[in-house]
Amino acid sequence: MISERRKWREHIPLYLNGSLGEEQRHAFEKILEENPQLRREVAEFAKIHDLYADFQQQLPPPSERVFRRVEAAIRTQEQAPVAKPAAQPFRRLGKTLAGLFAAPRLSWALVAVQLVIIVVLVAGRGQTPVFRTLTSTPQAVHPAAAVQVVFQAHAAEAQIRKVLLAIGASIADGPTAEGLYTLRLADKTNIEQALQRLRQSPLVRFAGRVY
Amino acid sequence: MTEETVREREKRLLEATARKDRAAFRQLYDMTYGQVRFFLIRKLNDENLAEDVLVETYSAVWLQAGTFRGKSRGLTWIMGIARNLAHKALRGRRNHRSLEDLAQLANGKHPGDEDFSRKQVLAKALDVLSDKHREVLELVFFHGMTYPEAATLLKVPVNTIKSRIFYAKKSLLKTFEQMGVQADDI
Repeated sequence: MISERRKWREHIPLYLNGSLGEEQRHAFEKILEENPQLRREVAEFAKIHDLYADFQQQLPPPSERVFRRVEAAIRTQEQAPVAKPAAQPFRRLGKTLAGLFAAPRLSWALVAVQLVIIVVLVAGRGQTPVFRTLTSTPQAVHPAAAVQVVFQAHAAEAQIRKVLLAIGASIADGPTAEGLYTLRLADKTNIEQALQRLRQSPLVRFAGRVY
Repeated sequence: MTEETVREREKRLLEATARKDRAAFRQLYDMTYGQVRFFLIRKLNDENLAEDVLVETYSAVWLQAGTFRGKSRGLTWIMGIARNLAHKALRGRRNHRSLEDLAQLANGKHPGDEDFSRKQVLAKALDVLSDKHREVLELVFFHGMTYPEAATLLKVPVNTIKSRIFYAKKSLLKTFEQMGVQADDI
């Protein structure tokens, strides 16, 4: 009942401004005859409507001068060179990035990536660096049982083998680009004595400890 | 000519304007000029500024008519452009033109005239209303818009328009009381 009354009240301004369809208008007028409260409200709104209706009748005729101004403005805009939207792709990219960074999903993704980087860095701290100095030891050989040696360029494979067998060593790593070999010494071999023998050999250019 | 025909004509003329038909554009201008001008003068309270915005509005109509999709009434679409441009021109300044001034401009009558004083009281009361309430009354009673059309123009829900129009009337009656005028005497 209340909604019905509200519906008819809402019709009042539309009834006065002529927006109601014919069927609705007839129905409204029928209700109006039976409802003095609605009639009173229509009369109140009608005063407002009449005021505006007066102004409606007194609208000035379309101005020729203003239309000439409109035409001139249109000509100016149509003749103006069409500016290429150079900044448009950047603006679009900027908007896209702004949108991405504003999205909570991306923020969480960035946090996850940062965490992965931190874990990798922390976990990798104890490992041997991937770079090696000339005298650094390969992982498989304990420094206490290893020496490094560079043979003369003219040393033959048979001669090198003879030297290694003489001191009970085997090649653990090498040669590197610089010709450096890492030798693993047999157990209980005295490193200093082994180095001395190597240094005395005319086939050896350099012999030293592994650090 | 029925209201429906007016709406159809506005739509047809806008569609022809989109095809760069200058004669149709001129007819559209003639048809809507008075309403758009009144709307802008009320909004801007400055006739020169209103004329500048009017020129901008119709230039925009010519250039953008192709974007009119016919979802709203043609006049609503044009007034939407005018409203946006007026807001841009105002830049925060709000001072609508008094209906009293418009009455004087319209028919040259003076406050002493009997016919004028009745109108003057009502006009004064309307000018006391908040912008939102006054605007919705003007859209419905002056521009003859439906609730959905006014809602489209003001970018608010239809129910907001409905409640604003009844609050506007209530506020108007209260103003009459404060002015010592019986609503029945108006």
